[in-house]
Amino acid sequence: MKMIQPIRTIKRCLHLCSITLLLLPLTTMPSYAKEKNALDITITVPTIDASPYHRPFVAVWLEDTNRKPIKTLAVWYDDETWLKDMRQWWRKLGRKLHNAQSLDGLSGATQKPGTYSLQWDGKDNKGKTIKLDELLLNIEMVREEGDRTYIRQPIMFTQDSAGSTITIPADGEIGQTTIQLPKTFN
Amino acid sequence: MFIKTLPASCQNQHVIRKSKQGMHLGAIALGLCSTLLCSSAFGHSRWVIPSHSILSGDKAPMVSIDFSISNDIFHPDLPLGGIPIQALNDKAEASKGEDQSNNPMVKMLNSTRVNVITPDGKTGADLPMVNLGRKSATALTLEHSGTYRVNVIQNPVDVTLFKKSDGTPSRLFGPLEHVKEKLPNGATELKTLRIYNDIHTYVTRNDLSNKAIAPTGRGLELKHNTHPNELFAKEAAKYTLLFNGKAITDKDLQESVDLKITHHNTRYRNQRNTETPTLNKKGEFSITWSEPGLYLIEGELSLPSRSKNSDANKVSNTDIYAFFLTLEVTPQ
Repeated sequence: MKMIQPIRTIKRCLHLCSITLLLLPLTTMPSYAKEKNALDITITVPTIDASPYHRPFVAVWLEDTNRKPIKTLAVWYDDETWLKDMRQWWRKLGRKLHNAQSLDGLSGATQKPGTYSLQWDGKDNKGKTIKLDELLLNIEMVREEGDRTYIRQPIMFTQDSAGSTITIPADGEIGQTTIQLPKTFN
Repeated sequence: MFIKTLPASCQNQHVIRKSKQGMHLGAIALGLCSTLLCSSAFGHSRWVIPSHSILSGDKAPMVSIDFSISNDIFHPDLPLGGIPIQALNDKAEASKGEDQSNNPMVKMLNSTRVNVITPDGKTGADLPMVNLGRKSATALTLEHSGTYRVNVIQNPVDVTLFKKSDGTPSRLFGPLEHVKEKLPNGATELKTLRIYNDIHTYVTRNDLSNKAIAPTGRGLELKHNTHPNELFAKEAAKYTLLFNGKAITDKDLQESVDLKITHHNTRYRNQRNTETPTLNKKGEFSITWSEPGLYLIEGELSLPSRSKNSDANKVSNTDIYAFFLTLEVTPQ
């Protein structure tokens, strides 16, 4: 696993201003055991042998079982013009976040191939604690001149699943994903 | 280098068409005559295609818009008006005398305008149009976030149907008073059709909005119970069919309605695979998009004309209200 710097500045193409990127450091932080729904998620930007290679746009977000959006966990992009290409994230969260709420803290520049850690504290976009027995984790990765891969993974929060790990094998534009559930649900 | 405006010669809305174009359009009109079916006003579909229907970002993006009349959905065949492309090289040609053609089809094509309804619900200025021979084209800059409606507007088409003295069906373009002197001796069973065409599509920059998709209350149209810029393959979209702002719930009226939904690229398959949804008691219908791509929804309602015709020939007059809506459906 790669450690990524908690703060780094990414130089973008000339026509884009550089932004400061905040990504959570990849450490074995404890899960948010206080909350029923909390997750440690590890996603992988796969190495793809393509020429030219462009880093993928990435969106990771949570929905309830009716596909109502709960929270965006990460959006990595380098130009808002192409945000729409993360079609499912755009329709569920992007359109509204774009105007109504800053993505600061969640958004960052596109990342090079490697493994990245995300955490969810069990709260929705408005900071309200979620208590659900099932959620959908959505991951969308789109690469310019490449493909688009979208996965929607149900996650059950039951006594049986407490402390378990879900592994989603690499597929297309999305590398291997692991989801660590909290040991106890409150 | 990205040019933000069309050449000046395109921007002049009052550039006058040359008579040569009138002849060209006259030829088109003849083509239309030979293929128009009596039973239906559609012989040809009309449509408008935006280069993009879903856009994001802080910069005001430009969208190219093509429109055409064709049987191959969505391959262009006949232009719908605009400044001939040749005229862009020849301002002198473009400013020659107005087309004096008395051909009603030419007049109808020359009446074509494109305008937009902006996200605040207001009607914007007409867009400049170019006639590219097989299609017409324009471009729209989306200055605001929200949903725009793009309308291609034309004068209604008048058609006179009749039977020749030997009983063969025939037709002439134009209202009855216009075609009267051209009718062959012994023509019988005169029928006039007046066809109102509403050709439109929707484009959204950033968040969806609803003012531009609201029903106009005029003619045959859809109420969008699903936003037209949030359509995904394998999902259902729901609509209510309205006439003059009211849901079509009356059984007889429903029977006068034709609805067709066609997926793009008919040119590359042998079956048109046109779907014909049925209306429920509330005048609603639903369609589950089988695959992503562009779809054309065509609706048509035929009603006895309200205009009184005092003609002694007991002419039956029909008004046909038609709409042609282009929708883009996204993969999951």
